[in-house]
Order: sequence, then C-alpha cells, then structure tokens
Amino acid sequence: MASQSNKGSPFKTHLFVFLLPAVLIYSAFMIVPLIDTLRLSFYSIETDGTASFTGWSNYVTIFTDERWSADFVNALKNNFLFFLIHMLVQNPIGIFLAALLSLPRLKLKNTYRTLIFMPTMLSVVIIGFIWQLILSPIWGVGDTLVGFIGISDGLPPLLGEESTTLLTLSLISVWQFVGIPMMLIYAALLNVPDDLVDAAIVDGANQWTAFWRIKLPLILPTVAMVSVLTFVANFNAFDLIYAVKGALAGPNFSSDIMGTLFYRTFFGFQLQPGNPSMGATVASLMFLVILCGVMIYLYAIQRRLRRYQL
Amino acid sequence: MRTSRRFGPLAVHALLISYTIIALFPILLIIFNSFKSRKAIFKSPLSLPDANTFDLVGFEKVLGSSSFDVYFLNSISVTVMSLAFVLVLGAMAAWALAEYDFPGSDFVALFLAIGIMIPIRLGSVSLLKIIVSLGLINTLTALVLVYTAQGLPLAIFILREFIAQIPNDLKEAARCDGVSEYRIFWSIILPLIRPALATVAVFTMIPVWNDLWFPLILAPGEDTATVTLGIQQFIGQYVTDWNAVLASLTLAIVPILVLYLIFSRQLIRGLTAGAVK
Amino acid sequence: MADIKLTDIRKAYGKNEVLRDINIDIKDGEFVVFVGPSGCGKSTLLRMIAGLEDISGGSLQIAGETVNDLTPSQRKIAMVFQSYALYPHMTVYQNMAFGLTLGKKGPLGGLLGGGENKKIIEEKVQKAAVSLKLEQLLKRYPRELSGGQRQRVAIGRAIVRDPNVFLFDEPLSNLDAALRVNTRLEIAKLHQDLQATIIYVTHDQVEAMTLADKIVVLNDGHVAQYGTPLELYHHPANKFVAGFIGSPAMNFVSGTVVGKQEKALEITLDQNKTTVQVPVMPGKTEAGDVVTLGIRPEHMSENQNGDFTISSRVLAVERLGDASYLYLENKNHAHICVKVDGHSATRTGDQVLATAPLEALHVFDAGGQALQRSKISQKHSASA
Repeated sequence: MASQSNKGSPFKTHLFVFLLPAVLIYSAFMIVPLIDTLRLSFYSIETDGTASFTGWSNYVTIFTDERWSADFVNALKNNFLFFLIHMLVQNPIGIFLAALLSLPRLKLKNTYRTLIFMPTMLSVVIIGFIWQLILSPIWGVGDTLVGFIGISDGLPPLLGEESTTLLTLSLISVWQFVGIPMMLIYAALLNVPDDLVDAAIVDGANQWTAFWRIKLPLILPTVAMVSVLTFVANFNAFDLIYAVKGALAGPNFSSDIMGTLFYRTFFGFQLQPGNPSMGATVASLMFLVILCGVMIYLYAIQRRLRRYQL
Repeated sequence: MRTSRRFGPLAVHALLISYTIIALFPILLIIFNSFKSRKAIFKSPLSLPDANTFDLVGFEKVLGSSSFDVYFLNSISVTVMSLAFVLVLGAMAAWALAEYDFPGSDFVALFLAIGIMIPIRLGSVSLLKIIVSLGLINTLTALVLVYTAQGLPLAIFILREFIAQIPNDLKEAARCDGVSEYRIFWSIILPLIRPALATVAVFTMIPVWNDLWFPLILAPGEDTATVTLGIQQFIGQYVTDWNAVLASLTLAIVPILVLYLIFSRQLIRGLTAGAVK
Repeated sequence: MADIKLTDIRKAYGKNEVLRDINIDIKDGEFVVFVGPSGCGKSTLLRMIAGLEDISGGSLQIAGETVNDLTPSQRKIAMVFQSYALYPHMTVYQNMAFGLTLGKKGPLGGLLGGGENKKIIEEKVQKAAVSLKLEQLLKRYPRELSGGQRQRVAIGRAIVRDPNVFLFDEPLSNLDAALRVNTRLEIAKLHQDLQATIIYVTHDQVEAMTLADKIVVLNDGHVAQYGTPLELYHHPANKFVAGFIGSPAMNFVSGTVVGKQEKALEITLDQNKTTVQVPVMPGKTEAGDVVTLGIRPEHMSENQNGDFTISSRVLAVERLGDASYLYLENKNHAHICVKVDGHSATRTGDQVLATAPLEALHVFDAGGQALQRSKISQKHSASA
C-alpha cells in the first residue's frame, strides 16, 4: 500500500498538510471533549464556576443517593428495554424484509426498498410528532384505524400511560429505523453466491430452508454488526423521547432513557438547576455502557464469527 | 413447490406492499391533512383533500408566524459547510493514511476510528464549555465544527478503504513524471474516488440535517435555529393549532422526500456498497 | 436410473428467445455432453433440466414422467456446480449430508432437521467418502481443501443423494491443466462404476470428445448436432460443428461447383485452373454455387502426391515433439494448418505442397450445411 518512493525522504511536509487539519478538528471537537468530560466527572463545579477535584464522589452519589440511583437505574433499565425491543422487533423485521427483497427475480425490488427506507431519512423529531398526532385521542385517527381491525373501543392513550409509553416510543423508533438493518442485511445477502442457494435447492431445500440454513449463517457477521450499531444508537438516543415527551420523559419518568437523563442532569429541569459535573458523570457512564457493548462485539462476537470466504 | 412457485411471488409482493403501506401511511396522512381545513382534519382524517376541504391556512400561519425561511437557510448552510469540510479533509487524511507508510500510521488510523463507535454527544458537557470559551455559542460555526468532527471518522474509514484499491501504477506513473503529491491527490485521486465521496456525503448529510441535540445546546437562538429545532419549538408553541402543526411538519418533510426520491439510487447504492450485482 | 427426453424445449426471457427447438433423447446410463461456445445456452439448458430455471415451452421427461413442474429434488437429479458451491460454514461431512437432512417430515418444513435417520445418513456419507477417498477430510471445512478435493466433495455430495441423473456444469474449469486430465479420468471411471445417466456441460471440445457417449453441440440456442463423438468428427452436420470439433480446427477453403455427378461434385478453388472431384452427394447443389471445402489438419500431409493439393508458403511452424503444425498461406487461400510428423524439417518461409486424399474432404453448401459424404477412407476412420 505504501509507496516505496516515499520511504526514507527526511521530512514529509505533504503528510502533515494532508493529515493535520482532519486530526486537529477531530481531536479538538471530539476527543478532547470526550476525555475532558471523563475528567469533569471527577470534579465538582461550584455555582461560581470553580471546579474542585472530588474523586469518585459523583459516581458514589449516582449509585448510592436514593433519588439519583433510582433515576439512574430507571433510565438504564428503560434504555435496555428500548434496545431489547429494537433487537426483537426492528432487526428481525429488517432481516425478513431483506430476505424477501433478495429473492431471485423479484420485480419492483428497488421501488420497495426506496419506499420502505423513506421514514429513516426523516428527522426523529418529525417522526415523533407525526406519531404523536396519529396516536392523539383528540384527532381520533388511531381510533378509526383500529376500528378497521375490529377494535371498537378506540385506541388507549398509548403515549399517556406509564405502562405503554416506553413500548410505544420504542415501536415508533423501530418503525422509523427498520430500513437500516434491511439495507445492510440486503447488501450482505447479495454477496452470498447464487450457486450456494441453487445447490441447496438441488439438495432439496426450498427458499425458506435455504435462507435459514445457508444464507443466514453466512451473513451472521453482518447481523452482529447491525446489532452493535443498534446498541450504540439506542444508548445514544434522545431526540424521539425529547420531542414527544419532553425532557421529563413522562409520564412519571416512565420513558426516561440515558439520553434524557443526561440532558436533565446537565441542563436542569423545573426547579433543579443544571449540574455540569453530574452531567459529565452520567455521560461517562453512558460512555462506559457503549464501550462495553462495543467491546463485547469486538472480542466476543466478532472473533468467534468467522467471515466465510464467499 | 410448483404451487408455492406460482403463489410465492404473490405472497411476497403482498407482504412487501403491506409493509410499504405501514412505512408510508403515517407520512402521507400528515401531508394530506395539512392541506385541509381544520374541520375536515377532524371529521374525515383519512380522506384526501378535495375542493371543499382544501385549505392552506396552516401554511399561511407557519410562514407568517415563524422564521421558516431562516431555519431552512441555517440548515442548508450548516449541512453544506459540514459536508464540504468532511469530504475535503476526510479525503486528504484518508489519502495520507492509505498511501504513506509513516511511524504511528496504525495508531493514527485507530485513533480516528474511535469516533465511529463512540457518539460525540457524550462529550457535550465539555464541548459546550469549549464553544463558549471560543465565543462561538449561538453561531452556525459551532455546529459546523462539531458536525465536521462527527463526520470525519466514518468518512476517513470508508475513503481509506477505497483509496487503497486504486492501482499503484497510476500514482507511480505520475511520480515518475515528477508530479507533486498535492497534484496527484487533487487531479488523480479525488476524481477516482468520486463514487465513494457520494456515499460519504449521504452518510454525513442525513444525521447533520436531522440532528436536534447540538442545535438545542449549542445554537438554540431564534437566528441560528435549524429546521429540526425550529419545528420542535414551533410545535411546542402552537401545539393546539392543528393546521399549523401539520403544515409545519409537511414543510419539513417534503423537501427531504423530494431530495430523497431524486438521490435514492445513489444513496441506496452507497448503503449497499460492495455488493456489486 | 433413468432416460431423459427433451421435446421441443424452448426458453425465453420476455421476448428474447435463448433456446429453441431442443429435441434430445438420452438413454438410461448414457454420458451426454453439452458443448458449445460461451453464450450458446448450454448452461441454461442444464439448469432447466435441473429445475433451477423455468421451462418456457416443450416438455422434459425423466424416467417417462413429465417433470416440467417438479422441483429439483423431486426430479431426483444431483448437480455439480462449476464453483462447486460447497457450503462454506459446513464441514465436508455436513456438506455431503445436507440434502439428506432436509425433508418435509421435520418441523417448519424441515428447518429443524427431519429428513432421514441419522444412522442411514452416516452410512451413505461414509460410503461415498470412501469411494472418493474423502474419509480423512470429513471434518474439514471447504476453505481447508485444495481445488481437487473440493471438486471431489462436490461430486460426493451428488453421489450421496443417489440421484437418477447427475448434472455437471463445467466441473473442470476451475482446475489447473494437470489436475483436469486426472479428474477427467476419475469422472469417466465414476460413470463406469455408477452406470448413471450423466449430463455434462463444457465449452472444451476435448473434454466432450473424451468423456461422452454422445455429444450435443449447441450453437446460438439450438442443437447444431447430436451424435457420438466419432459421428461428429467424421460426419459433422454443418460447418459450425466441423469447425468446433477437432483440434486444431478444420481448415476451410471456399470453392465453386463446376460439375455435378451422381455421387460426386466437381469443385474448383481457383477459377478453373484446377478442379477436384469430391465424393459427396450433390443434394440440391447446382453448378455455379459457392461451397466451402473442409479438411482437417491431421488429414493433410506435406510433399506427397495426393488428389487435393495446395501449394503455399509456411507462415509459422509449431513443434510439439510428436507432431508439428505448419501454418500455411498462399495468395488465393485462407490460412491452412497441416499436421506433419514431428521430424519434419520444414521451416518458416519454405514453400510446401500440402495434400489430402479426396475422401478426407468435407463440403458445406452456402447455408453451411454439410453434404453427405459418399464414402470415408478406411485409413482415416482408423487413424482418428
């Protein structure tokens, strides 16, 4: 890859010219803030703006203080639920749609792909409002729609009750982002040679068994990658909950996830003032959770799943 | 199997059409209703606007009482500037990493890759501090800088893979002719990686355009609000005015949908890159 | 085992007809090779027989039963793919057993297993593995095998299923030259052992000649000729088959008919300076028609008195050791290749007289169809 002619030349100005701008901007606005946020989580910032080192005390507060720990555990638990619903609904539907789209000789596949991917393009905020309107008891569209499938009682206030809000929001997010696993899996499926499927068909498989026993095992690395992307995105989510339920992630924090907890802690809400160092602590914990997910992927899953030479 | 072969395509199309309807219905519902009178919105939400129910009152309200044009201009400036920086700086860095063997090149590559997995949002607390200290709070420049940093890692990763595939002969031939490294990059490499640049452009553009978080914390002012933030605040204000809410959503959706339909081919090719069939 | 009957088979993609009027009878146990240039439709035809492509028209019978609408496994065929198509995530054993583990009996359409009894599967796989010398490799994955081993696994996977018909799609094209000859012999032996009906697709006429009981030459979507290798060699039905079968290819020289007898044609090559009387049935040919004369390089010789002579300059000499090929050209004729003895001293630039006996000549009419030959020299039949 590296060219011979560049080896040994004493000082390569062009190397710095090419590399430096990107490295500088990236470092200044991404790496430094990330590290500095980790650092701040060990400080306490007074109202006058002076910071003092307090060691692990912010973390101790989050885990032991009754109110903090309740909030944190609630957000973490909700976030895992949010992720679980994506894994159980979004990714299987994505795989299923990709499997349908990759069937040989399917007509209109480009049209389907384009249309199904459409919601993914729109802002999460917009999607949140769209569904808020549709599910709103004031409008009544939802009631009419469920009427078609024989439910005459109308739609319960899905975004208004503690028991259903998080689930509903998760499903809205699933609805919006199903296009991403669909596209990535579809691309992977295209790379499975047709001959393998033909061979399976000759061996007596049908498209269904050929998918489960030949294609799916061969694209597992992509499925794992989609899962970790889902994980990172879900633990970084904020916009949807904020747009639909506000920073308080109601009712009664039942839709609170790490992103909204972070926002509230950092900027404050209602009577509680914002607290940058506690915000940094929550962000550091989010960082840790995401890092764990990525590490599990890199070391446990990625290494065991063999990429087959297709 | 023969029966399933004949029945199969029908069932597959039925499934795909059903899902397509699920994906599109909510969006279309909002768009159609935004062109109706308030009465019609509530009375017959599922019907298309007709001569009796057609009403642009929502759009008049939105365009009259908010700075939608400013929001759009802000979003476009931020997106275009971020995109330009990500593409140019990303391609330069990718070229340096792919082409030159220097001590620590692997480390730099790994360092730049961290940002693919770790969201920049987690650094918000310090980022806000930095932006404030630079005096850039409530400026579009702040957003452009942050989005450039956010877009660079993936851009460099994708472009580096792509540049590595360019045959060495092309560069060697140029070097033999005494062409400078800058000229090689600008006149040979950049034109060759155009398809990859298109892919990167799409990946960079969508999250920038749709982001709510950074406009909310770095540039929440009325003059610097982007479309996403503007909509969020407008709807918060006019939550009971259904015409205005629907019209504002439509105004935010339609340009994106039009752009998407125009560029969907490139976009999907980018997403499924590598699968050449 | 089964015979196969193709009647008026055609294949069209929309309006684009890629195969037409395919009529072939294959007897039980025959080894039939489909051969033709790339794009002639041979692989498509094989995939139609396999059940991987729909049949647009006509009927396909296997063992007396019309199978147009049956799945590949219902047709009881097995196929060896050009890429071998071994499942990369399965061991050799699993690859060979895969077909047997499928079956309607299991839950979810055989998804969770089902198929045959484990013990029976193991016996069948072992038996096939032994016959192909794969016993030591059963636990390996395809990526750990050499090209030749992969090839044998692919054949083993076909054998395990105990099919009525074996289909081979260019199975040797991914092997190097030495291995190819070896594997060719193994496939011939396999046919001997199994006594199975085999259809084999290749673009290599040498493979076709060496392996086949019968050859189907396909050209541009139709059957150019169907017959035994020697029939094709001695009695090519048309100019295409004549040029395709035999290596180096048959020489073609154009001529004009000047006289017509009951069992011979008088043909001139050079405006009446010389004429030759070729022993073919004239058919509908009339004096004045333009025809093409065909002579195989191996039926020509240098500097001997023959009935048909061409005097020309040697453009190039290829020495293979046992034989040499002279490439000739003179101002009237196209390039001519002559196979001569390996000891020939002829060199580039020499002027030689290339000759051939009249019985060795083929004549093709203006449409490229061969005129029936009246008699064939015994000598040439025997030497071929």
